Amino acid sequence: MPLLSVRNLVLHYRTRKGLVRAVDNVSFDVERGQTLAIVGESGCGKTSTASALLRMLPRNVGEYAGQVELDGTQLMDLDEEAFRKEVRWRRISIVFQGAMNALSPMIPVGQQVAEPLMVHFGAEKEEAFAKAEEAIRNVGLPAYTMRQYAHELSGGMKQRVVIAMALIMRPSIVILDEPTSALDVMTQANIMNLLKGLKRDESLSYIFITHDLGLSSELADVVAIMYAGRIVELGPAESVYPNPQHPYTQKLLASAPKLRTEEKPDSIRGTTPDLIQPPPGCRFHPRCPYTFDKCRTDEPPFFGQTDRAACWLLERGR
Amino acid sequence: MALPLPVPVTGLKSVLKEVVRTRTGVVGFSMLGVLLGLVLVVPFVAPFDVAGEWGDRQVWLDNPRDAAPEWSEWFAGKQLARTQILTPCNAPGPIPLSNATGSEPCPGGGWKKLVRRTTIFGDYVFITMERKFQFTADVFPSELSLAVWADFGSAAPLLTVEWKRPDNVNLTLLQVAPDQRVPTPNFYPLSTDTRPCCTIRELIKNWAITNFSANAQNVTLIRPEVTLFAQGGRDMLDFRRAVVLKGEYTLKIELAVGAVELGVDAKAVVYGTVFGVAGTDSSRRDLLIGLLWGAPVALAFGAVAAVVIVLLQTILGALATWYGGWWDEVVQRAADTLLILPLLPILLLIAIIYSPSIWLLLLVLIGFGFVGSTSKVARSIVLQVKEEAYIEVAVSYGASRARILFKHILPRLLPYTFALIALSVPSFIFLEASLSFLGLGDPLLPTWGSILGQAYTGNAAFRGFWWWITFPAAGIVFATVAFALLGYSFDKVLNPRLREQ
Amino acid sequence: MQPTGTPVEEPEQTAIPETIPGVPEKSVLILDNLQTYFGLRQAMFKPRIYLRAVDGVSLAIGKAETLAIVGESGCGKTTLGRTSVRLIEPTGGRIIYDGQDITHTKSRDLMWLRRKTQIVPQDPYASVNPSYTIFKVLEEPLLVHRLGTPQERDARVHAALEAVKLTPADSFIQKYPHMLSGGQRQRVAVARSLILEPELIIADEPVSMLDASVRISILELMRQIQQERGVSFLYITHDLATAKHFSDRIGIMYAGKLVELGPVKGVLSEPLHPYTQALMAAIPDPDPQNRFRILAALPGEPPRLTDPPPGCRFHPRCPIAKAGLCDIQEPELRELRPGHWVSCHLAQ
Repeated sequence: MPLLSVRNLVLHYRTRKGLVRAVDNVSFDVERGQTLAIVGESGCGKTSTASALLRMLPRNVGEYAGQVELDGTQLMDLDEEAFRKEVRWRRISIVFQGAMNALSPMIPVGQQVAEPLMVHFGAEKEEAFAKAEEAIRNVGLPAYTMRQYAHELSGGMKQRVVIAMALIMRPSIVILDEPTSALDVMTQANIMNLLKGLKRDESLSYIFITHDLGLSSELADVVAIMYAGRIVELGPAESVYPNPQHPYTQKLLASAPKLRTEEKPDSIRGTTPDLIQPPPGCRFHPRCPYTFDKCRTDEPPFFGQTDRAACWLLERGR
Repeated sequence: MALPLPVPVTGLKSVLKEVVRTRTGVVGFSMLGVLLGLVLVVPFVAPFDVAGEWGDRQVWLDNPRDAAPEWSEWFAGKQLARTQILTPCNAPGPIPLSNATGSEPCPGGGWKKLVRRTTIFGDYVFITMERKFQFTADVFPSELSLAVWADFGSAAPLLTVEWKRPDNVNLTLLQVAPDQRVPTPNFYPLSTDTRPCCTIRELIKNWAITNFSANAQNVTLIRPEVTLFAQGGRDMLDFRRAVVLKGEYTLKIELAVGAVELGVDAKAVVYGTVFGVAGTDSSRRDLLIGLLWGAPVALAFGAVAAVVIVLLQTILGALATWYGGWWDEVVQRAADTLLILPLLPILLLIAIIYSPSIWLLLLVLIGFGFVGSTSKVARSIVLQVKEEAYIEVAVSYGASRARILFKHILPRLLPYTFALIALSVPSFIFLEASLSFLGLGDPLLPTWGSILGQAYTGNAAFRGFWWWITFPAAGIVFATVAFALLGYSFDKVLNPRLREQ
Repeated sequence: MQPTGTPVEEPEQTAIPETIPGVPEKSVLILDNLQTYFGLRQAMFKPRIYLRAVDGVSLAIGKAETLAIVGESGCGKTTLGRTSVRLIEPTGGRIIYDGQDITHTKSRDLMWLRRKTQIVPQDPYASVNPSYTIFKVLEEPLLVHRLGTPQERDARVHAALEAVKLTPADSFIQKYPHMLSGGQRQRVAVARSLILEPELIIADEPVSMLDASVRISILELMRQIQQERGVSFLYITHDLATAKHFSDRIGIMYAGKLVELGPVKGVLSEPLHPYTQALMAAIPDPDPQNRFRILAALPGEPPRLTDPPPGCRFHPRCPIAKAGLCDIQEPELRELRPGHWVSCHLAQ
């Protein structure tokens, strides 16, 4: 049984211009100790998926529905209190994009790591600090970091602190939303190595959200490609990276300039779709080089066994 | 980002569009519209030589003093007295001499004019003017006055004033020799009775006691306008207890002189207790006129002060910040200094010593406000905009500093300037009101503040003249709130954190 | 059309020192040991400290060539780009444009430089005045230099929009920036940079804030402009992969200094400086095997530019640093392969 099973997840926002279908019927599984990478460009709905999983909804939420089963528990059935106490941060936690900038400059970082334990879970101060120190050392930082302030730490160190915060309750799943976006290449590499190590040592499962295909391959066991609020391809890394089935995945891979091969990168024509009024039929059809009639009218279902893609081209086999 | 980015609001047009979408913006603009409408409409609907006539007593003579608005009758629950003017036949025009006998026409009023002559003991002519009027209010009139014009030669006439009541118990109010010839009227304020004092009151007292066994009162406490209209009885001399006698009253005046020719005209006013939409003040002035004309003054002062001061401060602040260096320091220190100065006391001093007109005060205000807090706001905005990428690009393709300031930076300041103007108008309106309240504003013009000031000195609150206080205060509050709401909605639009997603 | 502020007399051709690496046949811009230091005020009694953003960089950009400067954030590459066109004043060294030494020329005499060099900045959302229509945005450089009649300007604006493939041009000229996507705005920025027909464009991270799929089209556009119009580009970026595909030569910057410079193929197929090697190793290509491997990454952080380490700036993190040499003496740029210069004591 998979650790996390998501079916038909929906999250829409109400805005002055209309209903934004940020997450529009998304389904996937995450196995124990495995990483699912959700890859897509900005505005495809990947961050909203994270918000939906953690039930961190804004004021203008329009629709929020679906089934989310975590280790046997139906999360959507839980009320706000139960979700807050038992699930959020305890069984699923998150490292936000730009989280390192959200560290308070007024309190030493050690206290910030320990605080959720004391406030949220009612732990005693000593116990909380001890756990915090353990988490800090676990992410490769020396113990004295506990007493330092955020501005004394470099970007990489701050990000490690944030990861420590996410891991402190030993959740089964950690959502990483562009965890290295503001970091240098070297620091990024170091953080990725840390995450790899933690994955191996603690049997962590990740949902790794990023727009960088190369980076996603550093952790991904399973890859989900998101476009316009939907998943268009879902499959194991071994299949998707070398052999992408969906035209968008192919174009996305082709548009990433590669350092080690001479392959010239290729751009995708058109613009990212409007989530309020997405194109009819297959949402990618205006930008797809292989569009034919059916693509403009009917939404394709998933085709394929292990590597599934939602594309009409796969219907009768290409 | 999963959500579509909110449209960046930068140009003035787009800011205004956004402002009109907010509720506070709509309310603010409509209130401003009402005020502007008032300012534009008033000169046409209620034309009035404000400066000339507001202070001129003669203009207001026919209004009752300290009268509440007519619609307060609703709350009083009883019928209140309206002023009745028994208009003269010919005055203020020339009064014809009566040389015939019999009735004479009375073009201007409803008087019945009758001329009699005798030659028994010499030539005598008697002219009687009689006027009937109804009195149906539940309260007594506030005053009663009589003016008689007499055109006579060397012989002194005798004036007799008779009062006829619905219950037919009549009395002779006055017998006196008028001394003024036309065109000056002989003025007899029957209720205040200053000349000669207390004669009328004595007369009335005796008449009341004789005819109705009324309880005696101290002469000074007798009010003619009450007793003359009171139902006969013990209480008729007591103005607290008397009850109105409703019905038809007749005022008859007779002028007799030992001569052949005589001209007579009369006017009487039965002053009511209510008047107009907004009542009157102690100088009998129609407060509605004062209020309506107070609006343009308040607005003009407030708006001009706000616009000039904010614009000056913004431009100076932006210029100084942009060109930097020494100028920046000078302007900022000047702003700091001027900010500390207590403006109201200084204005008060100047007003007391020099008694300037309101516009000169405005000039002084501008003089003390050409740099200030707005310069600092402008400075912080300029410093921020300076860092934006397109400014650097403009430098890179050779745009001069002046060009960048005027074409790129100042336009960004415009929406904030608008907001600041809107937000500072209330304080200037209030400043003007305060100065006028203290009597230091323009003495000729009615402004809301000066009306309030007069209400204060006239003890309006103590005497219960609520209309004298409420309406000008409401005017000030309305204008202030209008601009405050406008300013707030601008701020809401410009400050991203206050905007709702 | 009369250009403004052309230098009246023939500029004297400045001699080019031998020490500048890789000077092409015809060069547009030459930097000779350029230094840009920022003085930082400290507390009352502490002496002033200097942030050495650019600490002795020498390079040359040829005609119709794209030179990429690659480095991590804080290495000084942005400052280098700005200083090379006198948008920031250099503290030392020389800037030679088209043979003319412009290091100390007064700003008011540099209008011609402001025509011949342009910038394309990083943030597509802030690089254009949001309350100007696209037409105004593009017209302004022409107005500043007082070029052409209104009709001629109109034609130039249309031509610029067509050059960046924002067609039909008429549908764009009345739009406001917020109506365009990030990619389209960046095209507008490029169009604006073209409108004065420059010789050199400084592109400072022009695509890092754009979506992956759009980046390539913008970079291809710049490449096309280079080939069709002979414009040189100084392409500043932290993304080695895009530099690989869109530049002719590449320079690697670290802590204010140039550590490696050479043709793109050469540098990336045979990186000679340990920093370049580490940089390359740290960037992943999409490969499912990556998750089983540890990325080769250097520990530590780039040094603070106010207090760089003595000797070779890279030595505290360098895997092959030699004590007694690398921590004492600063290495010089040496030409180890044809056109390929490296600043390292130990590179071969």
